[in-house]
Amino acid sequence: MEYLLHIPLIKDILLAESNGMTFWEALPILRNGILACMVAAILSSYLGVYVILRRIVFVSAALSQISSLGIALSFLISNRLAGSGGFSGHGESESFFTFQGGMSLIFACIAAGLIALQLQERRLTRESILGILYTVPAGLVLLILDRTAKDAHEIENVLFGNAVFVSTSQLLFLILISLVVLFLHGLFYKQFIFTAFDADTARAAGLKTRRFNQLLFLTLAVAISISISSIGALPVFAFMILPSASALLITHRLRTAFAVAVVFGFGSALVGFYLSFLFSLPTGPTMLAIAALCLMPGLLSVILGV
Amino acid sequence: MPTQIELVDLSIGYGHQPLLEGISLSIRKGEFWGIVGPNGAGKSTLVKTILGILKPLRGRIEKADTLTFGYVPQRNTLDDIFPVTALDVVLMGRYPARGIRRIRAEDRGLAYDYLEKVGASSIAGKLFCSLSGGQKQRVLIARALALKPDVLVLDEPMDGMDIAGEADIMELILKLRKDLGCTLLMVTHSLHLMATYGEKLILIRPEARRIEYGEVTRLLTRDKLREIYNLDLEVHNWHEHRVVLMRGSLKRNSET
Repeated sequence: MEYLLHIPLIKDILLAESNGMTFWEALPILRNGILACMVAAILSSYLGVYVILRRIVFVSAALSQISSLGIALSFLISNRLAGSGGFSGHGESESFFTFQGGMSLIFACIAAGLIALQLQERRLTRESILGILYTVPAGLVLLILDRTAKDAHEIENVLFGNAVFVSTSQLLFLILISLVVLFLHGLFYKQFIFTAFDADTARAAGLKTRRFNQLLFLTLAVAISISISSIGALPVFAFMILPSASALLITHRLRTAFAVAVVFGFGSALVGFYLSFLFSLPTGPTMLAIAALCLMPGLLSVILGV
Repeated sequence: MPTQIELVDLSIGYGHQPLLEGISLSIRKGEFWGIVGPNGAGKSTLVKTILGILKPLRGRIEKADTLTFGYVPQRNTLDDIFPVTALDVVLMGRYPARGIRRIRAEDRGLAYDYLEKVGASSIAGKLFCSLSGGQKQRVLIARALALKPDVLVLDEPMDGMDIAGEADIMELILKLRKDLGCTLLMVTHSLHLMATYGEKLILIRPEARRIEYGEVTRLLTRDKLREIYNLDLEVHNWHEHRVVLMRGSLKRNSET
């Protein structure tokens, strides 16, 4: 890696200083965080194309909130148990699968399963049901924050991705899950696309559309909860929406849209993380800001009518 | 001709509320069936049940496991947000045959051939969302053909078209039927097209939750249409064709 310091522009970037420490010197501490952000960004941006195309932005917002509720509850439970001489399930855990991660995953998967069932209630629209699934967990998270004042800052860090410190085992778990999700999406790309574009015809042609629908929601839930546990809810939601929206605005081919979304997501994670170090900014919001900048070419193309 | 699809005492609808009940009929290979009835009568629900998209509330559908359907849905049900070309859409017709294997050059070749068959090869690279109604319809028919169907099912294929577009699509459908020898089920509002080209008809009577079916010549009569549509309609025979004339609403006529 030392050879990077001999390449002119990269050398300047790596040796930029913040608070008396160069980025290069901070890298060993930041490495896991950067990698986690990049992996989560790639995964979220890829799935984000489906989120935009299937008009289920509210689903991913609800899943994010429900995942966050799982995390907040894990803090509350471990807090109570620790208070009564039980165990502490949070903090700088080095275990492969944390209590927070587990709670977030369980909550998101149950919610995704329920949403995929497409429960209908005649007097409530689907949007209203999703709105409820978004606001109620959001409110509960705030209530829990109030009750766990000791951990409030830590929970906020987790939820908003203010400071991304990821253990090696957590990073490996994120990479493993991402590979599994992306493998499934590569394997069933055609089925996911046909089901998303025209479920009725796909079903008439013999595809198990309901199963693929459930698999899409499940992979979304898993991706959201695993990513949130690593890099925070706000950046994950941003990566799910902004890069894919930008990609769909500037491309006219589906496969290109997936590729561009991934590149935008990856780029904004990398650049956002670097800038947050350089200017001592919170990491999640900085990555979000850079991802929002990716919208510019798309907006320009809309304005210019290209 | 052998029976391809047998509907046995079928009840259809959503939830637990039946829209239509007691449907029993046989569809034979190569027949052309039109499905007509007022809005909301259950025409699309009936074809979706036959296609296996919806489960019947009661009764059963008997057909060979190997029977393949080529479905052409109402084109306005497809979301224009998808950046897919006409060729991409037709290629979807090859997806079930390919399973998890990659799409190959031969699939693209076939998709092109089907586009050519429906007279739409020149728009293969165009975005589906940018096409006109008639062009979209041709592309969707080409996709249905790519499924190599035994039965071609079309849901209001001429909806929202002018008479020229309507005639174009109808001629195409009839030509394909002749070339491929497949069975045809077509949901339509166009009584005059069914009067001209149709052979068999399913006439939906929503108020009775029943269907009537049989030869077009037997069912497309003044009295039946008046009863179902509440319209002052006349049906005449003209040079071996049946012609449906509309004189106005029965309600309005009775008021004046």
